[in-house]
Formats: sequence, C-alpha cells, structure tokens
Amino acid sequence: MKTLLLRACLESSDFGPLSETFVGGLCRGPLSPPLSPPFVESQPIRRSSRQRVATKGCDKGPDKGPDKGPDKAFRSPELLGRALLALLLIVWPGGATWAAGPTEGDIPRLAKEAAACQPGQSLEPFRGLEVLVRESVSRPALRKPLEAALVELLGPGSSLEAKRFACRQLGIVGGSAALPALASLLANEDTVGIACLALTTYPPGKADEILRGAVASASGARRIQLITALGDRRDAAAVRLLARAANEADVGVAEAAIAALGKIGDAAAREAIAALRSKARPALAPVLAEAALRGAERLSASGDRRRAIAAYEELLASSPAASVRRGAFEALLRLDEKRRQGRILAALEGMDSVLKPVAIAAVGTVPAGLSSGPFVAQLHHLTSAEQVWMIDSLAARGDIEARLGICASVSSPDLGVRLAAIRALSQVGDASLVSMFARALGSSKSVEESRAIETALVNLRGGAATDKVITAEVKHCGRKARAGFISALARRVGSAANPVFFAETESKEPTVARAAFRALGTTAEEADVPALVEALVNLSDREVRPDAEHAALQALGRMPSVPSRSALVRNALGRAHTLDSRRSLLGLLSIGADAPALAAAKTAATDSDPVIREAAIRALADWPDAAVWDTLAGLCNQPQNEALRGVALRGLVRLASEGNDHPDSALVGRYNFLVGSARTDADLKLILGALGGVAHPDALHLAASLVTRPGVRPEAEAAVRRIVGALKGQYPEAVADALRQVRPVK
Amino acid sequence: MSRRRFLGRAAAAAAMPLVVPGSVLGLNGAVAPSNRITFGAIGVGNRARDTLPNFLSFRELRFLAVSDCRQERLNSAKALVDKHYDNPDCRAYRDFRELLAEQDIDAVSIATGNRWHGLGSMYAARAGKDIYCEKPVTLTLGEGRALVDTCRRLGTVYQAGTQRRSTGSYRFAREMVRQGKIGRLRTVEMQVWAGPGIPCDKAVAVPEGWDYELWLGQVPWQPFVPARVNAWQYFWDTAEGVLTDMGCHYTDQMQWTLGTDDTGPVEFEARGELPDPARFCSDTPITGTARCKYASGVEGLLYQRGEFKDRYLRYIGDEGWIQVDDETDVVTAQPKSILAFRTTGGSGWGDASDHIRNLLDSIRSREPTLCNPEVAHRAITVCQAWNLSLRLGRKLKWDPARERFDVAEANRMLYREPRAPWRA
Repeated sequence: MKTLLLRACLESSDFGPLSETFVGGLCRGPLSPPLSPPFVESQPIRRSSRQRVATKGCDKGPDKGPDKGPDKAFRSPELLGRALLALLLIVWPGGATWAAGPTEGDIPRLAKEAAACQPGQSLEPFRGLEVLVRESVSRPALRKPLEAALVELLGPGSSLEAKRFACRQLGIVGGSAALPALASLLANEDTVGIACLALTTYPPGKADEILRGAVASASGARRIQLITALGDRRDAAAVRLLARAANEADVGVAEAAIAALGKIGDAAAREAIAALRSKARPALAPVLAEAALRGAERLSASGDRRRAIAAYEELLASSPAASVRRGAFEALLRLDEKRRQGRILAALEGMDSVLKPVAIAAVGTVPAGLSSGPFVAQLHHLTSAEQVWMIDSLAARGDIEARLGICASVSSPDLGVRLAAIRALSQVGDASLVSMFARALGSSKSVEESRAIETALVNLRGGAATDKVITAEVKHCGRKARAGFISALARRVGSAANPVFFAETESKEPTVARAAFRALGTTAEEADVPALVEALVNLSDREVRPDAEHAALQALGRMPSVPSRSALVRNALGRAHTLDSRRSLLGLLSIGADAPALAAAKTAATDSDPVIREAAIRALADWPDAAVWDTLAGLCNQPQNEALRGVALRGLVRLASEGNDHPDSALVGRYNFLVGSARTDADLKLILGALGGVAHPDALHLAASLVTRPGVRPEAEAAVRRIVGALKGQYPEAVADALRQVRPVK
Repeated sequence: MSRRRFLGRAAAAAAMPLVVPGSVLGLNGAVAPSNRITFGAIGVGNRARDTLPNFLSFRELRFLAVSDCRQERLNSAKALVDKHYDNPDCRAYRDFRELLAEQDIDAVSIATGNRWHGLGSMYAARAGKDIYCEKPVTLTLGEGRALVDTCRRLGTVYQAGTQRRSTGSYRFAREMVRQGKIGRLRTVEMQVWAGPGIPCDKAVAVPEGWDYELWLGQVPWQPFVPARVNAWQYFWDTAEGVLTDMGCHYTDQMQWTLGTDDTGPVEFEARGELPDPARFCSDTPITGTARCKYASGVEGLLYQRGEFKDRYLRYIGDEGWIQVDDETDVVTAQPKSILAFRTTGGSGWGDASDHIRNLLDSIRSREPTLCNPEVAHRAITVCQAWNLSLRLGRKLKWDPARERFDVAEANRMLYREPRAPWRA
C-alpha cells in the first residue's frame, strides 16, 4: 500500500530532483545523481507522450530483437501532486528517511535479504547494495562495512545468485579484506568463474598469488579458468607454471596455457612458446602461432624492432595458416619502413596469393620519396581485379610515375581497369590529362566509360586554367569526344561557356549539336533565351530538334515573367517559316500560358496545315490552367480525327483531376461532361482513374453509375472504393448506396 | 520532365564519385565457384532473418553452413538457405566451432546475442575467417580492444553491422555537416526509445533443443529463467540495454562525422531510471540521458525516452541543423535550402546490401572496411562509457589514447573475465 501510494505521487517527471531522491530509494530503484552543470537537457525536438516511469512490465516476446523496439510501452499512474507527497511525509514521519535511499545502517538487512535472492526474482536487496557501492566510490568510509557485507555473501549460507552479485560488486570495490573469501571460491567448479570475475580486476600482487596457488589443485574447466585469468592478468610470475601446463595432455588446458603465455609475452614466455613450437603438436599449432605473433608484438612495442622483425619473418616463412602469414606480413610492412617497398615487390612477384592483395593495399603507404615506378611495372603481371586495386593504391601516391602508370591503364583492354584508371585520374589529374581524355572519349565503346570520362573532366584540378584547356579542346577534338566535352564543360563552367555551346548548336554533327542544346538547357540565362529560341527556329536537323525544344523549354521556364515568355515564343512563331519550327514553337506556348498565347494556340488549331493543327491541339492539351477547357471540350466533341480527340480528352481529364483537391459541384459537372463525351471503354477508364480522387457524394454517384458497365466495372468499383475512403464516414446514405452496387473485395 | 510543366531548379549538378560496379569486374550473372566467397552464419535468430536475405542476394557469395545453439532456429535457417539455392546442401551445426573448423568457409556472419559478438568474432578470426558481425560489437571496453588487436594480428577483414554508414540519408547529413552547411558543429543529439522492465520470473528446466551452456558462453552460469533468456538485451551480464544496442548506431555516426574514428570523447556523464526492483528483474535503464564531450568542445547528447518510432540523429551547428529521422529515413534541415544538395539514390538502413558489398570488396582487396574493428570499437566505447558513468553514478574523464578513466573503479570495469573455457 505504502509503495503504491508513494509511487502514485512520486512517479512523475514533473517532480524533478526531489522525486528522484524519493523514488531512488523506494519505488524505482537506484537513480544516478543529477547530471552536473552546465549540462542542461535541451528542449527535445519532438515529445511523444510525456515521460513516464516504468511500473509495469513490458512483456517482451522471445523473438523481438532490440532493434524492433518494445512490444508495449509501459505507463505509470497519474501523479497526485506535491501536496499529496507532503501529506504522506507527514503521515509517515519515517518515510522521508526511508525514501531517501539506503544508508550504511541498512547494510546488514540488505545483505541478509540478498543472501536469499534467486535468479529472476525481486532485486530490491541487490539494488540497495548497488546504490551503496556507487556511493562508496566517492565515500571511501562506506567501503569497509560494504565490503564486509559482500564478503559475507560469499559464504555458504548464500545463494549462488547472491555470490555472483557479490563477486560482481567486489570486482568494482573489493579490497584485500575480500581476498580470502574470494580465494575459497576458486576451489569450487560452480564458483571459480565468478571469483575470477572479481579477482582479475585487482591490482597486481596478492590476487596473482592466489590464482597461481589455486592452479595446482585444479583440473578440467576449473584449471582452464584459472590459467586464462593468469594470462589476462599478464602475470609474469606464472610463466613456469604455464609452460608446464602447456605440455599437458589435456588439449584444452594446453591451449589455455599457451594463449596465456602469448598474452604475457615477456622473454621467458617467448622462450617457452618457441620450445613448444619446436615440439609441433599439430592440435596446438594455431594457438602457438597466435602466441608467437603476440610475442612479436610485445617485442615491437618494447622497441626491439630487430627481434620483432625476425620473429615475424620466421612466422611468415613457416606458418601454413593464411591468417598468420597475412598478419605477419602486415606487421612487417608496418614495422619495417625501410624495406617496405622491397617486401611489397617480392610479394607481388611471389607465389603466395594470400599476400598479393595485402601488398597492393600497402603500396599507398610506401614513403612518398620513393618512386612508384617499380609498382607500375608490376601492373601487367596482375589480374584485372588486382590492377584495379593497384590503380587505387597508385592514386593514393599521386607521384608522376604513378600518374603515368594510371594513364597507361586508361587504354587497358579491360573495362574495369579502364574505369578504375579514369576514376583515379579524376582525383589526381589536371589540365595535362585533357588531351588524353579526349582520345579516350573518342575511342570509348561504352556509355559507362564515356560518363566516367566526362565526370573525370569535371573533377580535374586546376580551376580556370583547366577550364580554358577543356574549352580549347572542344574545338579540336573529334566529334565523338566533343559531345562529352560539351557536357563536362557545362557542369564545370556553366553559363560562362554559353558562347561555345551556341556555336556548337550549329554543328553538322547531330550528337554534338544535341549536346550543345542540352548544355544550354541547364546553363542559358535569361538574356540567352531569345538566341536559344532563334537557334531552335533556324534548326534544320530533325534529329536534334527534340533536344533543342527541351532546352528552350528549360530556359523559358527559368524566366520569371510569364508574359515575357509568351511574347518571345509568339514573336518567334510569327517569324518561323518551316513547319518543323512552327510545330516546335507551338509546343512551347504552354510555358508562357497567358491569354495571347492561348489565342495563338486556338488560331493554330484551325490552321490549314494538319501538322500545325495537331501541334496546336497538343499544346492546348498541355495547357496549365482551365482557361482552355471550353476549347478542348469543343475539340473533343467535334474532333478532326480520333487521335486528336484522344489528345483533347486526355488534356481535359488532366485539367479536371487538378481540381480534385477542391471538389465541388462544378468539378463534378466537368466529370459528368467527360463521361458524356466518352466514346470507348478506354475513355471511361481514363476518366474513372481521375474521378476516384474526388471526395464528393456526386462523384460517388457518378462512379457508381458506371459499375454496371461490364467493360469498366473493375475501374468503376475501384473509383467507388477510393471515394468512399476519402469521404471518411461522411454521407453515410450515399456511401451505403454506392457500396451496395460494388462487389465485396476478396 | 513534362513538356507542360516545368519547375525552375537550382543548378546543383554535383559530380558523383565513380564506383566501379561489381558487374564490371565480371561478378554479374553466373559467378565461377573460384570467384565466390563462401560464408557461414553463426547465430540465426531474429536479426539473421532480416539480414540473411540481403546476403543471399549476392551471387558472388554462397552460404555453405549455418550454426545456432537452438535447434529450431538452426532448422529454419537451414531451410531458408536450402530453399534459396534449391538444394539440401547447407550444413548445420549446433556448435559454431565446428563451422569455424570447416576449411571451405572463407567468412562468417555473426548475428548471435551480444555476449557472443566479440568473443565469437575473435574465435572466427583465429580460425582464419573474415567477419561480418552485428552490433554492438562487444560487451566491454576491454573486449573491444582485444577484438581490434586480434583482427589486426591475424589480418582479418571485419565489418561491423552499423550499416548506416552505407545509408544515403546518413551519408548526406554527414556530408552537409562536413561541408559546413550548418556552420560549426556544436552538438550531436540522438534519441533512442525508452526500454522495458522485465518482470520477475522463475527458473525452469532448459527447453528441449537448446544447448544452454553454449548459449551462455562467457556469461557466469545461471539457471534457465525464461525472462532473462528471452529478454537478454536488458541484463548487464548479457548486454547493455537500448542505450547501447541502438545508441551505438548513432555514436558511430557521430564519430564518423567528427573524424574521430581512432579516438573519442574525453568526458562522459549519464543518468538513468532503472526498473522497479520489486517487480522487475532486469538491470538496464528504462529512460536516461547521456552526455559526452570531445576535446574539440563538441558535445554528444543521447536521450533514452519515447517510443521506438521517435528515434533520430540531429547535428546542431552555429548556423542551423540537420536531422535524420531513423524511422522514416527522412532528412530535415534548417535552413531548408541544405536539402537541395541531396542527390537521389542510396538504400535505406533496412537494406544492408551496400554494407555487405563493402565487406565483399574488402575481403578481396584486403582494404579496411567502412566499419572496421577500430571504428566499431571506438563507436561503442561511447555507449559503454556512458553505462559505466551511470552505474558508478559519476562523471568520468577518459583518455582515449591510453583507454583509461580517471576513476579507479571504472577502470576495474573495463573488462570482464569470461567463463571457461572461453577466452578473449
């Protein structure tokens, strides 16, 4: 009852530090003290529910990993207020003390209760002791009685769970007083592990003696535990003991002892390991090799490079295990800078395939003063995959020989190698590579490679100087390369190169002209638009026309003034002589969709030339606003041909659908018109697709009316369901009526 | 682009780095057996069910074996692999050491419980296998350093499963920070969800089909208590709760963005609300707040609160902020103009394919992976240090070069002696 009441009033984040103190001792278990200033919890970006405290369990299922989140959140009861808290304190005068957290005086009681704890059961006594352990970190006076209590928990009257807890805590705060009790646990297979948990955290000295002493009488798993602990403690005094254990018949014990010797790694340990290796028990070869590697590491760390290198070289030469050879080789490369290049070359020329990738990866680490020439010379001995890696490593070096080697790889017969070379040069190259890229682009056989070269051109270093070289190259390079150069120039230089692009729009070579127009599509500024439109007007090559139209569309779209766009296009239309040009310009009218533009399009829709009429009708179908509705409706009802009727209808459906966000009777009226104008099931399907987005009861009625038409039943039913969903429970009668006509969903 | 509709756009055609696709290296289509990298899976529970399909989608790798100490999981994993390859050849082992002993296996993916991540990886490295291991990569700081040293000693290629380094949204956010788009970075704010309290429970007999000794691994022996076993994430013996489990993804991002992959913060402070011990047997915090500080002055702030879907990572600078919502993968920013720099593409964090691709490339080239052991260890060090601060109830100063705290008791908690016969 007490718990419930206090919890009710305390468990709220509104109480702040006061409640934390109370709760820390009572309901919620230990809390860490508040964070020190200037730590201030910032305003959270998002608050979900108000912060609540766990009072109920979260029944996390067995198959939910932590990344899946909790199955259920837990919620606390609502807070009752500070007044209630104060009242309770008055009612329970002892409540304040008790609720303030355990004190030294609580230790005996907590220890007594802890002694009986079982796994999975209430942890209150443990939590209380943990609070005190935490406090003792800054209050050493607490340490003695606490340690005594924890030692008591190691006694025969305590549960295994209690002993485990005590060992864990003694591993944090245990001192010499706890050693005898911990030592006694080493004799038992059930407790040797938890005793080692504590003992291995002690400073060097007595704890090592205890562990060494316990080994003599231990066997099996217990022996292994103790031996491993000696190794983890790097106990040099245990080397002789471990060397003897390493010779035992029990492979588990021998392995543990060898591993421990490796961790200790001093001269005596290394000597023991060497002796063991010479006896060559096959089962122990892997652990011996690892121990030898550790010994070499120790030599290296102590500054004895010469002997470390000798040790690694011996392991490299003798070990059949790839991982050992790799590890030894990598260590030699790190350690022996003077001979690094030689070792790499030897590995590249050698027969050990395990070492080759390691050697290639290390090329970038060879001191900068040394030439990359010898590595470059190895390229043609390597497989394609290896060449790719080598190119990356050479790029990391970036010296002149490396660059030359990479340049040569640009013409490799292997696409992967070529791409790697291009990528590498884009990182380290400058204007001097422009001609080479021009040649490569000219001979490129794949789109991927062309794009890679283009990107490399964009990334070349050198700023304006490189821009100049690329610009000059545009004029000189072959037609195949020129398009790529134009594209690269657009990305690199932007509108500053517009004069070049305009010049190239007149190229007789379609790929070049197209590239130039594409460039202008992104780089043309407002002042350039008239010239771009003019270029479109004057264009004679039909293959280039779509790119030119698109470029003009992009450039016009960037002009802020719609009337200006309209005027420009209309003026050009007035000057255009060819059918193609007029058709192109009609296609641009919708980008400047004002009244004069609409008038021009309507006029063109009645032109004597069918090509012009079609272009105009398509332009009207693309019109961005409903000013064109009546014109399109007329074209739909009195079409010149079926194709154009379809174009007009699609335009009308699009315009109608753009009003779907604001459904009203006028919009539904338009849909009614569309349905009335439909001549085929295909027409109706198109209309129903848009009608389904109209959240209006009349639209629902319209859609439902089409359910009975067999050719469009599925589309009509789908439209009905969408509208019902969008109505969100409104118009229940209309909804019910419509749904009655629809087949149930399976 | 529609002819009728044109939107003005800022010209932001940033050059994309070129990546040589695997297909160009002859890895697409039918892959010759000699070009395949063979894998074994160690731990095939919930997480493996998510990631195995990603692995299996790579034609240039082949799973030859699976291992789990729970028979029913072993059976279903074998069935999954057999179905994928349309043959019954996948080998199944209760004891992962038998899988490691197989000479025809080049690499392993480890998706066990946390208590086995570090140790299992070290055993795999000793067996000469390259490794993909789920996060959190270790249980303790000492185990982490041992993992780094073991992989280095044996030339092991190792990828930690902090796959957000290969995720488009996170890479973009990092790039924007590094380009100075939010000014000088001041704070990295992170949020993970509030954890549960696990109700008290009773010990029962070990269920049929469990190798419980193997399941426990390095953890001190205890009876089989279903609550403790099924919710192992929330007990200090076997894990470190949500703060570490999920927090390490974000601390990894923080480390990466700050360029501190070989070092870390110098100060840690954390507080948390622990479960009611009268009713719950779990150890790890339900909610909490943690702070760290780098020598540069940048602070990391992690909140454990709210719901699973509320998690995020936010970089806050002098001139703005940028945030990745981990649930939706949506990036928001102030000023909003920052978002215009984002190019499309990149997989979401749920798809580990890019991360696996990085591992496979590294296995061949022997170059370090994106999330190599040192990187992974330093990232989780932040979370582990927070937990130590929380458990000791005090602020801790940390020397990232010596990897030592200024508080003796914290240094005693750097490593936990494993139960025999296991060793680091």
